[in-house]
Amino acid sequence: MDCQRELESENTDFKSFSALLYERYDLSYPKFFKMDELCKLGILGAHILFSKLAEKEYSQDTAVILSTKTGCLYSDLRHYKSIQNSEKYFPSPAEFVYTLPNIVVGEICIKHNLLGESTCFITETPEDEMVKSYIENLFIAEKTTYCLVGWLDFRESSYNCQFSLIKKN
Amino acid sequence: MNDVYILDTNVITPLGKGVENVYEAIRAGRTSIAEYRFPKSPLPPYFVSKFSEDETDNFRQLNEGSLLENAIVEAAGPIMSKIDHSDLKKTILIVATTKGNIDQINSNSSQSLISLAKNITGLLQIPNKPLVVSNACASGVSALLVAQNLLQSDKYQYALVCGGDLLTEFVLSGFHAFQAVSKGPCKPYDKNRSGMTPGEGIGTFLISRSPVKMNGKSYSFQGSQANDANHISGPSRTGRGLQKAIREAMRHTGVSNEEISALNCHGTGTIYNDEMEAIALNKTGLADTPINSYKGAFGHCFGAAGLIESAICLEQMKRNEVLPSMGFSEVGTSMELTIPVNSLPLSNLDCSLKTSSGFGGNNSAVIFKKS
Repeated sequence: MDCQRELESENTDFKSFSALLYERYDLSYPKFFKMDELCKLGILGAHILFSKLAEKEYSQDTAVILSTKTGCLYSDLRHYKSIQNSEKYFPSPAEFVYTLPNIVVGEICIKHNLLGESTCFITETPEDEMVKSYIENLFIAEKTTYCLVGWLDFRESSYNCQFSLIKKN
Repeated sequence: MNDVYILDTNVITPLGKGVENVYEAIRAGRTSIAEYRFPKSPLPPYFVSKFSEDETDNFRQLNEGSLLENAIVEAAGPIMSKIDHSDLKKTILIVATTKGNIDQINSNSSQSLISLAKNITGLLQIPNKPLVVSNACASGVSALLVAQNLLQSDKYQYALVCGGDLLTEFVLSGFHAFQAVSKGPCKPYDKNRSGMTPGEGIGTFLISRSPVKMNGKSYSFQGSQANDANHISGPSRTGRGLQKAIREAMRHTGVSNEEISALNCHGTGTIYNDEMEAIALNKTGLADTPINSYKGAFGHCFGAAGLIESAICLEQMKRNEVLPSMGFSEVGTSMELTIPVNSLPLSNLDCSLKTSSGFGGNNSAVIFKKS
């Protein structure tokens, strides 16, 4: 494991916390403000991790394998509420697209131009052994030499992002 | 990675139950796509493939799970009879879904996709912790490749891969907002195509890490996945992710483009998806290989699509035949594709490529080999 950064917080207002990190780590990515909370969390985690690398070590073949329990449930409720009132029925494509848990994986791939495998697992708790074995097999089969791997969870009251960049031996 | 082997498959769709029945329905030119309007919804009527109310009520009463859980268990039952009860402890359940039990959402809560998988393991008495793969509309093919990966170690002997998604107002309202739904039944690859047709259904696969036979033949697979890194809700203009997934799938299986006898890609009927596929298939030397899409028959079943369609691909291999694509009449992509308008018999259909692509940019390619 080359680099690990953890972002963990409880009972902190995510909007102000994410804005603070955006400034502090010089993200400069206007699309960020259109994203849902899960994607903001993942984009910040990946940006902080990659920006700490001495040089641009990772390649286009980098895989992104993320796991989550709650996924996009917060965005699900937002879209659900937009279609509850037949008088004020406003489903929005910009909100609906975030009702998929793997969109955060796609956002990270776009931001860092990563073309390797991109997979989103939903598990009850982090399955470190399973994911480790999965990535080892990926390194054997694919040309991938780096894998961004991690656990990501967003709820209204707490959020958690733990990312690592793993290099093939 | 080592090959893995298919023990059995099953599907339940509004077009029919069982792989052979759905295959025959497509072959006979039948479709489950019809105009439908959600009761009390301001959404206009759309052409969709949806289970009837009777079928839905029947699923609800089958077991103690949710509608989707019961439907998945119903589809998994017949294929699980291929292994002994004592094998369950060497079996992992992998569920492919985009929205799971989204029909149960209310203003206060929605449930994690993992609860769906846990309830299915309970109903099927599989003691191991399950896994959900949620890679949008590529989930089904992704889950097959995840199963292959997890069966590399001897921790598990079998993987039960189940794909399931329901067509709810939640989902249809989103695609309505995207203006992605076809005005009539979808027309994959056709010059008059205008969008996708939402559907629902279940596809199940039982996979073994050691060689086994299905209908007297051995069916093995390998594949690969790649991201477009282009746009979260639109395919890449160059199809670079799909090209990469296809090339790597060929490298892993050791087959050339000439050895692949049939293609079934995502074929949604949207302008951009089908165009992207035509580019990727031309760049990978597959433009002359017969291709079809089943979505004109039973719609786009989201997270289950890749599994339902893979099961029909395997049935094509069993029968050495390529089915026509309902809704298609004239190629409407900028680069040529080879799309049969009638059932096409082949002397040998020993090798097929199946691909899926989805929101989030993921592309999954799997190559099935018969021997």
